[in-house]
Amino acid sequence: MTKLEEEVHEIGVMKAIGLQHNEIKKIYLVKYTMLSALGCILGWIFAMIYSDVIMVDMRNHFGTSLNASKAPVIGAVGSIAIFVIIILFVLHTLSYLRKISVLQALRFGTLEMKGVTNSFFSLYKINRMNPNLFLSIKDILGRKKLYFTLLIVFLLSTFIMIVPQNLSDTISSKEFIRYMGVGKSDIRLDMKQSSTMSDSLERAELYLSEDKEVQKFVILTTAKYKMINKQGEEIPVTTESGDHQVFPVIYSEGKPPVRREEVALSELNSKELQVGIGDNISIIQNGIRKDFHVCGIYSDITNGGKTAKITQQSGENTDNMGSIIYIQTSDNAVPETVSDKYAKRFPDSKVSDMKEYMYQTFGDTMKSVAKASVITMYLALGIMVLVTVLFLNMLIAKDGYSISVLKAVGFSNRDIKIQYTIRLCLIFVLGSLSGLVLANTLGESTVGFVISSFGAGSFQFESDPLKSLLFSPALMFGAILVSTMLGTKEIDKKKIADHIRE
Amino acid sequence: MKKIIVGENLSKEYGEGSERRKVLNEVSIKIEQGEFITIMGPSGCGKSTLLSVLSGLERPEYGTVSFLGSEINKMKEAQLSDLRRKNMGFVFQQPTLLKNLNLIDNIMLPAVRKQQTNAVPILEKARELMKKTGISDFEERYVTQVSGGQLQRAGICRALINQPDILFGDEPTGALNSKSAEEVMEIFSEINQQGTTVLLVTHDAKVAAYADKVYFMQDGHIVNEIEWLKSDQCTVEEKKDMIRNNMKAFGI
Repeated sequence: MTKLEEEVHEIGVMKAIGLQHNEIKKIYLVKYTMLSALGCILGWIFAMIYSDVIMVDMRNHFGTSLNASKAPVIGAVGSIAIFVIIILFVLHTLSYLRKISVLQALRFGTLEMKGVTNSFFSLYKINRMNPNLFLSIKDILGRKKLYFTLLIVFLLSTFIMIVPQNLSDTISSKEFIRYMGVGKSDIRLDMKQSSTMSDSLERAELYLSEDKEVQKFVILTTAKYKMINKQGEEIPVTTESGDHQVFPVIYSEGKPPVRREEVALSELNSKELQVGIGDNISIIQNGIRKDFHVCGIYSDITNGGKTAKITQQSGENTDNMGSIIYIQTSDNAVPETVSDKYAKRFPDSKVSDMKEYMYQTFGDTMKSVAKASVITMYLALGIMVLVTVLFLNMLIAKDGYSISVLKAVGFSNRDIKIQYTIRLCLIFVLGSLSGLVLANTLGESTVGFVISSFGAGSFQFESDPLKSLLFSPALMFGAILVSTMLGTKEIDKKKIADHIRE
Repeated sequence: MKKIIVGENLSKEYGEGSERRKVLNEVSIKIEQGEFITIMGPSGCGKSTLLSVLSGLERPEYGTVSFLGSEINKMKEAQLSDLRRKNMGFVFQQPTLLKNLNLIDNIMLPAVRKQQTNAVPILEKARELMKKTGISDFEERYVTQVSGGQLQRAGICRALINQPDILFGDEPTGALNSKSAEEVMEIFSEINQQGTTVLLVTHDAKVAAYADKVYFMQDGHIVNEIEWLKSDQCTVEEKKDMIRNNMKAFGI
């Protein structure tokens, strides 16, 4: 399209000397067919030569593909597909040739003759406005369709940059622990089931109650109970008992269990058992079947996501697996120091601060998502820069005539560059704002949909506002400014006499 | 009279390699403030190039151009834009208006860029010029909604909105019918009588006859000139005949 715009005057001349539409079309079709074929063949050859180098890292991580021998054929099919797409696009673009009138091409040197649609926004109706700003807004209003394409690119780039970043921030945040069926606290103290455990627990409870560095704590005991599903089958479920209101997890429905006969189920567990809020369920404790009332459904993406929470154990429990003490340190205490103190004080327990626990449990996923978010950030920035530069090249080729007119009436190259910058910035602001809104709505629900299959139905982004609302948009804005500086260099070369033709 | 433009030994070449051609060959010209000058000659003689070089639209390969004492071929692009905006007005053969603006916005634009203040006085000035050139009824019309003559008048209004010291016209009547051409030339004449220097390029003797001085060009050189004093009181028809005779004498 850019090349066609640049050659509009020549096309006008060809038409003026009597060449038929099909003859002109054939000239351009032959030219672009040869260029596309050459590009696709070279691309395939380079891919074959360099694929081994590029794939080394991937092979180390994922192993060698069983279909490696088919790669050249698949590559060739891909190249042919790209070639066909390019030719179809060229054919579509060449259909504009029919619309170019000789007079229009020779007189204005452009395909476009629209713009008589926004008389409400007129210089003489506005008392005071910067002419560069006026011309920029006027141009956007006159060529909405053209700028809409760019807006979509900015929107999608923002979306693909922000969603993985928000996801990465969410799973790295302190709050994310609550999706793991664990309340938000600072330190976790694990005690394995043993004959001395009840003594150890008592000592710990006493010590914790007197420790000024501890703001609050709770002891939860883990046991493997059997729950009866609707088919009467017994399903083993890891169940935590204790006060679940101290460090609440995220409940997609209902509330934590408060009364003895209440139970909260993880989402995956509630699905498997086919029970919801208000239903009753039987749990076998110490061989005795008891009925519980389901009071809450919570997110848990750990332990296969199938867990339950109740308030009390029933007496001496043979199904016990151990106890966990969750601790929140006081405001002036450093969790790491308190954690070290408890590790020394209770050597038979495993003491870990929650950050460390989370990292141990979820570290690989966190690393992968963080890596993916960095890759998509570069990808989004790359797309933005590339599309902006190409778009500007096309626009400046299209606008040769009006650029010359503006120069002739005293607008400097700087003025004209400012106009293009304003246009792109306005479109960027609209595109990135829409992208941010979309990332936090559609993006959140899409990620939420995927995460719900792991057991967190009520997923919400815990994004870093400074990063997602300031740093990332500023980075994109910087990329747009750099692209605009690169893309508008051509304006310096435009000569008034070349475009104002006689 | 003060010299507004002085061009000395101006040379300009176009093309590449063996195709390179000298379009201006050591041309010198002096234009005084308040003069009405036309440059005549056959196609390809270099008259439009001379106008472009004198107005700073193009830079000469050799020679110098001074505008009110400042050498413009040494000026930076931004200084040239400033000069075009504040001191010069241009009217081209094809009406070069922005197609996404209506006529009055096109006319006001250079003034809004120059002053960037309250648009009301600019609007009043634009309306006054439109009235003078007979296009008051077309304020809100766009490029495609008016005739060539009306567009050219709008182009003249735009060229005059910043009250330039000099008005350049490159075949300003070339795309007009004879009636419109005559009306446009009357406007140029009136502008000149009000003190604005006018420099036109044309191949039409009738257009050239409105000037006080006519330069004849051939193959990149100024080959002759005619000057009429105000006291001569020649009519346009008489001037036209003199121009044609001169053209014949030089085989133009």
